[in-house]
Amino acid sequence: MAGDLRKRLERLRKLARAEEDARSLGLSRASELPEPVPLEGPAPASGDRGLGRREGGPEFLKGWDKLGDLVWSRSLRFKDYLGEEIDPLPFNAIGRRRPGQASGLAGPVPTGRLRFFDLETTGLSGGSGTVAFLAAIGSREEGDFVVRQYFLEDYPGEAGFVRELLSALEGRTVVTYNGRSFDLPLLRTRCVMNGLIPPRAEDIDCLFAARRLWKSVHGGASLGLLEREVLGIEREEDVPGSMIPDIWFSYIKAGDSPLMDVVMSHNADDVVALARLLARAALVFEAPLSWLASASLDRAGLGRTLLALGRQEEAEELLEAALGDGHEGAGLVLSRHYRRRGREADRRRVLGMLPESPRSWIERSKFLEHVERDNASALALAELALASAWTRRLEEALRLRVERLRRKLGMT
Amino acid sequence: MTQTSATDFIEAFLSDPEIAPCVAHVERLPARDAEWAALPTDLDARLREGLASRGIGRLYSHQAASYSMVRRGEDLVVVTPTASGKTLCYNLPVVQSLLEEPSARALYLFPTKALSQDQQAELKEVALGGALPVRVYTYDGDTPDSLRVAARDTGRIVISNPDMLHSGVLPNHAKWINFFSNLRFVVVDEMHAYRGIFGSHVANVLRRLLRVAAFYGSRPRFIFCSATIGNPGELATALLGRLVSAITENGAPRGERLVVFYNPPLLDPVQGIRKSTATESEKLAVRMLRAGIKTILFARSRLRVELIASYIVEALANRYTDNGRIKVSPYRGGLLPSERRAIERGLRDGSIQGVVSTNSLELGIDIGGLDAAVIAGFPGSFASFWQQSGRAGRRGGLSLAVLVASSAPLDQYIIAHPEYFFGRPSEKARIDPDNPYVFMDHMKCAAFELPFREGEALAASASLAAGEAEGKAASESAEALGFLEEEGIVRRTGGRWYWSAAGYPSEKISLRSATADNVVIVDTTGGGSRVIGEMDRPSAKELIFDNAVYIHMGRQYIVLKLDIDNRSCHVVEKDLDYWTDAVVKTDIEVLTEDERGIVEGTQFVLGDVLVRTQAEKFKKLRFHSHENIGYGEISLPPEEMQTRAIILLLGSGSAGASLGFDEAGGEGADSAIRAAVLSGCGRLLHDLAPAFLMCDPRDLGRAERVRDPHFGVPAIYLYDKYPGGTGLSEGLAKLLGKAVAAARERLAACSCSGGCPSCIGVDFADRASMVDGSLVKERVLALFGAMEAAHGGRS
Ligand SMILES: [Zn+2]
Repeated sequence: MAGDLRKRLERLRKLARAEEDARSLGLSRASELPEPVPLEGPAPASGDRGLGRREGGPEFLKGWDKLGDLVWSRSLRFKDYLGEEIDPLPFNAIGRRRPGQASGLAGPVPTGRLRFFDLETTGLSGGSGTVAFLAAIGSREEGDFVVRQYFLEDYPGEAGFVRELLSALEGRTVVTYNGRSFDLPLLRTRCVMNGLIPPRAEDIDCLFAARRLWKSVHGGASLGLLEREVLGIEREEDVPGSMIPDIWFSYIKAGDSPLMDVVMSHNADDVVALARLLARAALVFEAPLSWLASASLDRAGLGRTLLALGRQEEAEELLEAALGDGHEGAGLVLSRHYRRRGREADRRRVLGMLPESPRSWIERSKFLEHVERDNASALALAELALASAWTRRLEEALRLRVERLRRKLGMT
Repeated sequence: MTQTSATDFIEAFLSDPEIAPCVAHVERLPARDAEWAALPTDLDARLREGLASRGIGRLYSHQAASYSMVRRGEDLVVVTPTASGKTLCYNLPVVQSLLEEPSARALYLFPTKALSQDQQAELKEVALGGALPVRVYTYDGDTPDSLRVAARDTGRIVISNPDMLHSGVLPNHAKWINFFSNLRFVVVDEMHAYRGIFGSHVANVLRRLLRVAAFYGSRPRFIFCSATIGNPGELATALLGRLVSAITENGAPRGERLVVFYNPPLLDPVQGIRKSTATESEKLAVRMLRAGIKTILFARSRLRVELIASYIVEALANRYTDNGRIKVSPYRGGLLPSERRAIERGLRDGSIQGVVSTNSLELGIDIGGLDAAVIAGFPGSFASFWQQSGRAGRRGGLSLAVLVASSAPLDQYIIAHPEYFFGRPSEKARIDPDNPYVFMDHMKCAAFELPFREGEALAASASLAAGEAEGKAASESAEALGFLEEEGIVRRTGGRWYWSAAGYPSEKISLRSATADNVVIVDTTGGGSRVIGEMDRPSAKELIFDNAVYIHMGRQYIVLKLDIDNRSCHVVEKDLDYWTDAVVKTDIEVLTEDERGIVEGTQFVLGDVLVRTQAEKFKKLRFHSHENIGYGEISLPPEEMQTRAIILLLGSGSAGASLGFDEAGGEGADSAIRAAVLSGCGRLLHDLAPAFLMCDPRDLGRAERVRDPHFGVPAIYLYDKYPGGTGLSEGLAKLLGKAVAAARERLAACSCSGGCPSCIGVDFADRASMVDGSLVKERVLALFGAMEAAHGGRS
């Protein structure tokens, strides 16, 4: 093999140092990209690490209690917006669920049992090298909404940190925003990495309902956006999520990080916003028809959710109202719904109201072929749709449909 | 094709007056009978039944040997040429063990996605189409989310590829807790594909796999399968990092096979110009296809595949106006998976009679039996050649493989030495798991996956005694971790090294090429926007620059805009009578001199170099005639890489000195001749080296400097084309003597008068017409002679 690996590594290391020196003298190669701008002053060399760390922790840990080795905690009190109980069904009728996970919650849950949960992590793409360093768990306590936060000061404290979270969530109903895809799998991974048994808590992920209700109206469904647009709350000071990992890294490497306190309030604000958004959405599901004439939420999305819950009459009313205002998606959902119920007259009426578009041509073509038995018109619409197919799979399906119709018409 | 018609055709073919003069050699490889063994006695009755339903009541000897070795708990590699029933070598013992231990799991790795899809179909059959309690899942980039969860949680056998293992499975191992806790077997099929840079990466991926498995308390056994190579046991041992024993005897029967060396006619012996490999190969393939012979033609590049396929289709279209009777398809990397699947299906069901392929069909994709293989140019390694020629041949039948030599020195050398070809065991596959870049890459990934304990190593080298190896490996890992700590991406605290960066390291590390980022090729014809292929960034700069001609599925496109920043390339379909070829300029800077030595009377240096390449302009070459019809400019930033090089110094005190290659620079014609001699010498060494190293000529770069700015003497650089190197420069240092002898022999045998494409090239004629080619040739010959003489004097 090619010489001594250790020596080759040493050389690479020397080379990297030499390049570092050259760079600092302004001798960088033209083709090299500039270094990313650090968040703050240069990190001290590795020998100095930890010098910036004060007795009893850095400034931002004032007001925090030390729970154990490298683990800190604090509690914050907020105004409580939650009612006495909440119906989890509308939230869990949609969205992602892992196999083997508790299959939905039956009946109302007392809001005292809810734990609003959010993690700040060292990366956004998950994987076993991504660590959670900050957690907020919100709950109702004696008329207040209390957010308890946990902070991991450095890697070796992780097992203790995770144990704290597990005992705070144990036997509760965990409410998250995108937690099924991110926070909960990440927590499970951290458990495995530390030899702990992953939690099997019931959960509600608000993201799916929020998407249905507000995404199309506000052009997005991030918690920050909905907090501003739906709840009308402006945060005073915040950091973009993409900066958060580096803020913790500069803390562990340099001993302090001026933006850490902002990350900490960001984390607490997130669970407060989450609780308020859940309350708002629950209100919508309680009396959906009061939104019949409203443009501030997506009536088609709400209608679809109610359909999934079997609340057919409310769903139809909302979907018809949206279609009446020219909402194509609502019309397509209704058309399929009426087909399943065998209500072809309603379906015909709905299809007549649909705006001209490839999707409506496909739906009308199906109706013409299978209900009206008008293959010639069905073919015309299918061909029209084929000409503007937007995915290869759709193109393939439409081509088959066109071929079949042609055969039926004796055209081949 | 029946036996007699094949024999008749081959006889007629070989005695055809147009063909016979070009046949340089015919090797008849006799048929071989099967060697049988009984089914293992402990085989589960359900498996026995499943085999019976496929008409299998006994095993080939190598299948039985694999079974008992695996069942004894050994790691092994079994050598399995094409169509020798290799899948039973691992499926039987693995499925048997999974039936005995209901929680046990197995991981199957194939080098490509396409192969794993084939494998799943095959496995369904062994696992009795779901009748056995052994769930099989494919887990790759195409697996939908819903199935991923099922594969992780309930897959008894998970079929994947090294890339997916590297970037999808290992970084998320905690989600695979059930799988890793019970992992008993890892099957690595097509092992010979894991050489060079890919193999060097895969060895490190396996190190990571073992580390993660150990975290969950499991120690899987490994079963490797390989095509015929010279060192299966050594390669498997290098890949796994522990000793692997090899089964090299094969009990499968083989039909009679004829291997023909075909040298295209010399048009101009003085200038050494031969008829083109492409058009000669096309001619032979057309002849075979017209005789009803199912034929596969292998060409060396995507571009050549497209060119030759279109020539064949053209040639056939003239003769068959109904053009539905013979269907020929190109097959190469860069096609969409659905396009590939359609071609594979066509070959199996007989609706396609001919295929023109790059080596992507060399790997074990099932395309049914073909009658003949035409190999347009030596494919770069003997193992490739045998894999490709093995594509032709059905059990019991006679098959034909024709190697059409190109005018490259390597091909001309090989075609003149059949004894070397047929007598010699195949060459050895090389990897360098200790390429420092590759190693660092995987140290990052490993640190991400699990924190390193103080004193822990990624892996110990298998070549050293256990105690010594552990200490060495630990110090290497510590060095790498120290480096990563300085870079700020791991943190050392509390006796451990933790990954401490926001990224996901495996995302940025490609196992296959120097760079992970690919350029997407978008067809914008008629205002549309359809992705038709992709290409790695360095290749894109040399192949799909602005105004380049890109050929895809027999259609020509012209590049409107290559947008490197956005990794996209917009093309439109256009009918053109030419293709394009970039002229690439190379600069080299010496970074370190690690080792100096003398081989063949020549001083050499091994070290790290910085290579800067830039495509500056391109040639337009007319189809068929291949004549140059114009130039265009390319304005793209250069590519840079650090790699390993062997540098030959031809200054005073060396063989070069006797030829006036001392430090004094000459003027005018003198210096032009010196440049030509140096470049001819470098070219021959470069082109012939792959006969001794298992690599492709394209894996090696070369450059010559008449007065090297670093060493101050004439120098020839041969460098590894992959950052950090894959062991080629070191390998070449040991084999330089052989390469020099081969170079001298080839040059002496060449019929040309003053250099030709089959020896030292003719590049110098472009630069300064005053250079006398015959003088150059004479001096190169003398230089090689002096090197050999110096060697003789020394030994
Ligand atoms: Zn020649």
